[in-house]
Amino acid sequence: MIRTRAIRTLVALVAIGFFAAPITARVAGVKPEAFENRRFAEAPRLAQGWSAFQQATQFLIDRMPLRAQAVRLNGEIWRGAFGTDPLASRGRTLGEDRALPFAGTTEQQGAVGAGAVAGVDAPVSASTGRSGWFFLDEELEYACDRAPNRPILRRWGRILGAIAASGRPAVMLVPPAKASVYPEYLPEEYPFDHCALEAKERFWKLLADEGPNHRVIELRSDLLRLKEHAGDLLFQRKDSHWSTLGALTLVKAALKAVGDGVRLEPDEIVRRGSVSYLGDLAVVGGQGDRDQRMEYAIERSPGAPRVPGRTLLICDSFAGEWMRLLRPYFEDIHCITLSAEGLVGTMREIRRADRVVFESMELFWKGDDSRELAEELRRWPL
Amino acid sequence: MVFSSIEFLWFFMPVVLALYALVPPRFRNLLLASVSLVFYAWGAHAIVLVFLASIALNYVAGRLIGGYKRQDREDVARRVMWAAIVVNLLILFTWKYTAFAVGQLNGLLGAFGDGPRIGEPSILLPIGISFYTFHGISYVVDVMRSSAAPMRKVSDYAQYMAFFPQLIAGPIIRYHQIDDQIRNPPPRRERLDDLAEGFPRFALGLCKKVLIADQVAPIADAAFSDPSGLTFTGAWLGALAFTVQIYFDFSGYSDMAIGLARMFGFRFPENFDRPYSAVSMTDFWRRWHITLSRWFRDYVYVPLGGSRVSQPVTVRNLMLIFLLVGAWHGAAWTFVLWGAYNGGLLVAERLSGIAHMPDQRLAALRRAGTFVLVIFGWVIFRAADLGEAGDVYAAMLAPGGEGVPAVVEEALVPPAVIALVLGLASALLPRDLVMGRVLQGRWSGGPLTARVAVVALLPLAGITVAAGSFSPFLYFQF
Repeated sequence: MIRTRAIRTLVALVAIGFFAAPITARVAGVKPEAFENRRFAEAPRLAQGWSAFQQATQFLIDRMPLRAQAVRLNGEIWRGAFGTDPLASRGRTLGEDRALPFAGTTEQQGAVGAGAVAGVDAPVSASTGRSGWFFLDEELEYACDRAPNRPILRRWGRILGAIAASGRPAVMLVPPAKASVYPEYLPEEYPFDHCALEAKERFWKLLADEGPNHRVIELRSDLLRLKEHAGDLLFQRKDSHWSTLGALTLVKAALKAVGDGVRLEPDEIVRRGSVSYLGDLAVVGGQGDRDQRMEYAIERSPGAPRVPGRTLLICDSFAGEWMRLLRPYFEDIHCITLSAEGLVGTMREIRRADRVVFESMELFWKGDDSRELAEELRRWPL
Repeated sequence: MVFSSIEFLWFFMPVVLALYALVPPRFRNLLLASVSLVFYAWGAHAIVLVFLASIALNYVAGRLIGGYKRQDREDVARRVMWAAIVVNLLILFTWKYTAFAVGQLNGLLGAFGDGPRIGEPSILLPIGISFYTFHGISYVVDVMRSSAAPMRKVSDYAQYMAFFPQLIAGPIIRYHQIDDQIRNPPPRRERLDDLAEGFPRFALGLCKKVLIADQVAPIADAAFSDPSGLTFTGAWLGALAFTVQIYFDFSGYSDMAIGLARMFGFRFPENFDRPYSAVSMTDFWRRWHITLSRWFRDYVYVPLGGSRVSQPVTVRNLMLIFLLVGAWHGAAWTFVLWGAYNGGLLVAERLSGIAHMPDQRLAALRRAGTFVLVIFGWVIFRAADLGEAGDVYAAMLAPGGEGVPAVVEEALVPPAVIALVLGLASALLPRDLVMGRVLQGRWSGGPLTARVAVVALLPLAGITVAAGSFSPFLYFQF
């Protein structure tokens, strides 16, 4: 009887311990980690109305102590026990899979799709390649599943032509994704391995052959040439982005296209040394291990010529994260994203600019943006 | 908010348990009703107002029925009951079936040419409405039948309707099963024991949901994502995966609900009893979603005459009940057909005498046969439409083909395969081995070992839940 009571008490304590573990850890001083490459969600506000519940959910999840450790441990369990990344364990939610269709749908699921939360993108996945390289699976999937490229290229040509006709030099720069430059580090088997690389080759050949006629410049050829003799990597092993050295090709190409004679001189590139970084693909894989990359910087004399006027860069993070390399060459350059500014905002910025550079990484070379922008330009000429 | 989520496990539950530890027994129902409404509003947002209206409607109806019965005005009480039932069903119909009905009507209009169309409303099925509507009906009918007295306090009634463990996925608690428990909260000294009794059951449910159901789900999702491209093996893998998924998901939810309720001093009825060990479809329906079957038995089948009428009327009643059971699961023809399929099989068993055959007779053969029939039923249930179900059946019935489609093969990661094998193997266990019952056994020997085992697995389930919230951000998407 006494033994039974003791066991019951123990189980009750385990129950309390299970439910209260994160709160207890917080009280004990364990702090939540921002380990997902994004800021913590802000606190819910009454002004948000019912959405405050959704905001509160993300607010609480972000601030739960021990979650980062749980994610890493889960990754280690999967990799250790099954030799695979824990993709299948990404949150499944009620009713989503028709297992309990009668349970109903929460407002969050109905509003933004299961598993998604405000300010956070849908889950992405990464494959572990050779020699510790990581690759974004979507890069390979998208290569196979791409819309016909030539009509998009022509449409961009019309957009850039219309901007140029208004007196603003305009160009589109297309940086490659990682596997387009370093396919040799892809794993032996990877998603869409039957079609990804061939589809990529077709894409780059089209851009190399016909792109310049439409003011579209692909940067992959420059990177492949640089790769042959550069001692340092042009992409970061554990990140989806290029390295500083790789990003310098964008600076060169931008100046060549709209630079008014301003050039990037080789002696302005300074090799700073190795720095530690946390790659976004390592984070996607649920790993917190940092890697090293070689860092470069631009050093120019204060009186060196700069591109005059206002330069608008409509970009993604392939340029946005490396603005420090561009700024020394431009009097006034700033970067906007089409998704953040919207069509109206983007058109307003184009009208205010003296020259326009579009930068769209291979993965974002989609038809939607160009279609909308072309339509907007047709309705509201510059 | 769902049970297998961070916000429920590690924010909602510790707060509710702490508050529960503080309040005296007489305030238990008020506390649980209040936190349950927060739980509901968290996921349902403004739909909580519909829920509150439903609670108010049934509470008032119950009070009126009780009052008229005391005055011997049975006919007025009966009219109030019917009015309450109609309004309950109207609420359910509005939110659950309007879009489907409009779709069918437009289909009919389309058959007569390019005439006018009704705009199809975009209505999401509010969480829990299928369950609380049945609770509301159970309440007014039980009060009318004098099976239980109406609740005096609104908080007590709200606790019956809204109690969070059963709010989303049941079990369906008939009012007369629980009214005494609501009226008589256990004394404080029993709370620790209740926690110890309920927690292993909750742990079992969470493990079933997270470690089995969620792991095999991608296989089923992959197979049913493109049924026209399925091969024989791919179709069977998909059907088997869904068979495992739906049982471990649903029974896992029920286990969690039963465990949670016990932690707050309530004893919920069982909802599953090893359904995949059934020796006939009649036996299956005694073991699958038991509380739904019993709800329909008590409130529809028996009032229609049940089995104490002529054979043709019994057959009609059975078919009607199963068509309703099918439609209750969702507003689509697939669910209605699934109900008809099950009703037809039950009728066939009844007419052939299989339903009355002793369980031991040809048990292994009958278990296997029943399992296959159940799997075929789940195909209709899972398919998005009848065409897709037909594609899956065609693939399942055409041996050969070329291996497994790539999309299914990609889903066959080791944990999914292990979960699928474990899930299927559990169907082979002896019929009388029911984990839920084992976990209610004595605190020594086998039951104690079972408790230790499920609680020991819980950290793995917890890690999986926490990792499921992982939502990384790639810079290039900024």
